[in-house]
Amino acid sequence: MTGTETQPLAVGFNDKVMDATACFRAVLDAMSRPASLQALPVSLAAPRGLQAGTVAVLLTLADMDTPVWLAPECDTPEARAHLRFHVGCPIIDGPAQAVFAVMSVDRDLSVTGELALGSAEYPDRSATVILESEGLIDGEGPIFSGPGFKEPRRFCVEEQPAALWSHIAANQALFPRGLDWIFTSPTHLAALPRTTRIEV
Amino acid sequence: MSRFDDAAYNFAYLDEQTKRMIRRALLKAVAIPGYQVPFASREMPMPYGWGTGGIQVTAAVIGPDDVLKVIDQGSDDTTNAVSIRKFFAKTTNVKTTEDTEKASLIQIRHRVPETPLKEGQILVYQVPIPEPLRFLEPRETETRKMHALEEYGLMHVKLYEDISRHGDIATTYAYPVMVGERYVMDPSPTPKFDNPKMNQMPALQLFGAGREKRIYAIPPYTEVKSLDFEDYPFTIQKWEEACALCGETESFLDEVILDDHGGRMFVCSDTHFCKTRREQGHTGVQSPDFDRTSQEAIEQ
Amino acid sequence: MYVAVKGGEKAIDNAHQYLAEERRGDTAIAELSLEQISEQLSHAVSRVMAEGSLFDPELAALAIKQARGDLIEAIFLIRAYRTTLPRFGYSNAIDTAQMALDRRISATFKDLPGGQILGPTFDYTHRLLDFTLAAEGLGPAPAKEAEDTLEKDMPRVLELLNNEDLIEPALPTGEMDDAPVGDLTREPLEFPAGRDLRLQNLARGDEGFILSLGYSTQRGYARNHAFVGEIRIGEVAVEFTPEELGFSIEIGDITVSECETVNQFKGSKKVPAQFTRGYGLSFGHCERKVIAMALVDRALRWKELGEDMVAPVQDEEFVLSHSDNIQATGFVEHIKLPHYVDFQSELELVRRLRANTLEEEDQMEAAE
Repeated sequence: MTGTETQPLAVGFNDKVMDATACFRAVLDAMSRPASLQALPVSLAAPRGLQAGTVAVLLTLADMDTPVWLAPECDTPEARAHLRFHVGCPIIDGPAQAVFAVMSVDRDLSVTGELALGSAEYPDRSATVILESEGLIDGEGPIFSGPGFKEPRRFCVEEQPAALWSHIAANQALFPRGLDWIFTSPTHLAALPRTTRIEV
Repeated sequence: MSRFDDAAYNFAYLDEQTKRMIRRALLKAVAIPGYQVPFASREMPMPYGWGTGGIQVTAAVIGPDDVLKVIDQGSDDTTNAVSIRKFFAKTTNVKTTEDTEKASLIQIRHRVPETPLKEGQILVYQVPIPEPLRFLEPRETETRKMHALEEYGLMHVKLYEDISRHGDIATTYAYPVMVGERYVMDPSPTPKFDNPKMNQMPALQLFGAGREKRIYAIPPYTEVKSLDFEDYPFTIQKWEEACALCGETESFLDEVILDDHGGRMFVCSDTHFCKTRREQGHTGVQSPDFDRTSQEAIEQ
Repeated sequence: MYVAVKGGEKAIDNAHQYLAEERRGDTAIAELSLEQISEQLSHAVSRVMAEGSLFDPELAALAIKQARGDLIEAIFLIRAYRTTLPRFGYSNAIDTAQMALDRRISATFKDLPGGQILGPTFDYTHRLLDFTLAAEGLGPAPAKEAEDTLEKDMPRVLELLNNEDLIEPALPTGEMDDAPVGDLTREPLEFPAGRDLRLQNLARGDEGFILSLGYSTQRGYARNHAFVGEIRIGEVAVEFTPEELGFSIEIGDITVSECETVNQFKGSKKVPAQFTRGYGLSFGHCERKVIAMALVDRALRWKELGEDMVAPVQDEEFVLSHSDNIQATGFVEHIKLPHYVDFQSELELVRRLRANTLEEEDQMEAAE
């Protein structure tokens, strides 16, 4: 376990049961009301390479049954040690088998083309992508609509990556197959399920 | 014998690994409205067919700050509703309520409350047979293909056969709906009276079928359309009577037999709704202080 | 004035107290101990363990006591308890060739290496009520010890045939012995299911349902011409290999019943003439169950052997979806729960349809 020799392992959830429940409700709210910002209900230490929001999502949803793929920018020895110890998920080398894929929001997203999109019979068997950002911004950016919206909402990320929204719009066209996106920052999370429509 | 000491169960009974599995299924269900997500349903300490799917969904969602309401047939006081509410009170210590407006989480069987639901509330339906096409095609392998191909002709044929035989669509509960213009979905055995409430509902609707091992969902503000035909539009049940206790004319009524010579009356099936109205001073023909003249005045 | 029915909670509590009292029965009669149940009602215990999917005679006895002898209710109690148990891992496959035998018989050979061992069986008993059992305190005379000890080498009967290539191998060629097996208690069952999942489903399945399906094959509904190659009942060791140790350790013994059938097979377009196999295995002494299970297993293999599907027992989705008595009893019995809302909907419909018809008739009469 390189990395842990010099740096002690950051702690996980304080209360495994209640913290996971609170975080799940935040993710469920995020997915049910796409493009709405949800404050992280717990404060968490994050290892180098991962945002606290990402750690919260993985502690809540991932385990030995869910292979996780970390894109190179997130794949640090500290991140691996942290996930192995606190989450117990297999960390895999390629994206193809991943149930959760973690990457930075401003990277080249073409790698998501290698993730499972689900089949026509089982569209649920698709990966969930966790996109890490320095900050999530409410009320600005593209206009989103679809199931979960009483009225259209705007939402964007601090990095303003050029290709992000067209990439997500292309995924929406695959419905009912497709990826679901969870955006994380050090303090918040938001989600865009495959049903959400985008007007840039 | 130490092995028989009362074993302590986890918060909301299920172990955390099981909750994670159900939570992942719930998120995919929300992402694909109306699509049935297979999940590894566990054996619960209640029988299959008695709400084990709804109970597992509630157990995976419920937190210490929730206020839980459980109804069966619209009533908080029916035996199975009492039993399920007691189970969660015991395993989670959360507050329970009969008040629809005060509840954050409502588990239901066969009825959607009359009081409109709000944003932030979660409605959990108990589902016996999640597959709307099951009675037309018993094989899962076939129905799964039909959903994949959006091949719903068989359902329309069935409804149309009803019309040609009876002059009307003879489905009164578990009336199929189209969710988000993509998946035909079984709304659970709620009366078709409740179907319009599901459309564009501000609350999140979650469905659990334990024995059949399926979870599905309708996000808030999602289109839910009851299947029908241009010349035979969807309609809901109507009663000529008003509730005998609170005088309501727009709610779903239960028929109560009063004697063995055909005497009967109708009362709201949603017991909390009815109680609230009576507390507000509404009366019906069976109320002790029923005022026939004022009732007639209202009706005119 | 009408008062709505209330008091569900109190009624439930009272009913449960009444149940507890009835379960105990007359307190002047001594209470059953778990040891009495596991020792003297051992076949009931076996069935509860087999269909409850949990080998624990003491808990099975407790469940039978609590369920007042209703075995499906007892199986339900065990299943609900089993779900809450943590999983440390999967044991190594048991080796029934190494079984410490109570019973071993073959119908296909008169004699064979290791011999026929009848063991404690109801077979050849005359089913006459034994009134001496009604008198308390009279123990049976002890059974005679065998003069010879069992032979060490107790080859499986079907392997004798296998040596001549007369029967298909136990594992299809190319399939690995250590291939991972599915677990329908952890993943929802999907169709088509592999033989691993089918066998797991049948092993947990209701004895009565499996028995009737097996019987149906004998009466011509997908007849598969079965001979009992071998039945073995006895104890086998359970071994587990902890990852951190890297070698296996024995963690206990369990009693199992196993049946391997030899099935006549004339060959098909896919497979040459050869004997084929059916397999049944369960916890405890459940001989009837494993024989029936082997018949059903063989019937479900029609596709792999290139046979036609002609009978319900071959219909995998039908058989596997309806074999579980806990699912079945829950759903069948749930129709006693209140359904008055749906019934009201149906009443409204029938009244309306009748009114429509009567109105039409009136109009026709008026027109005439």
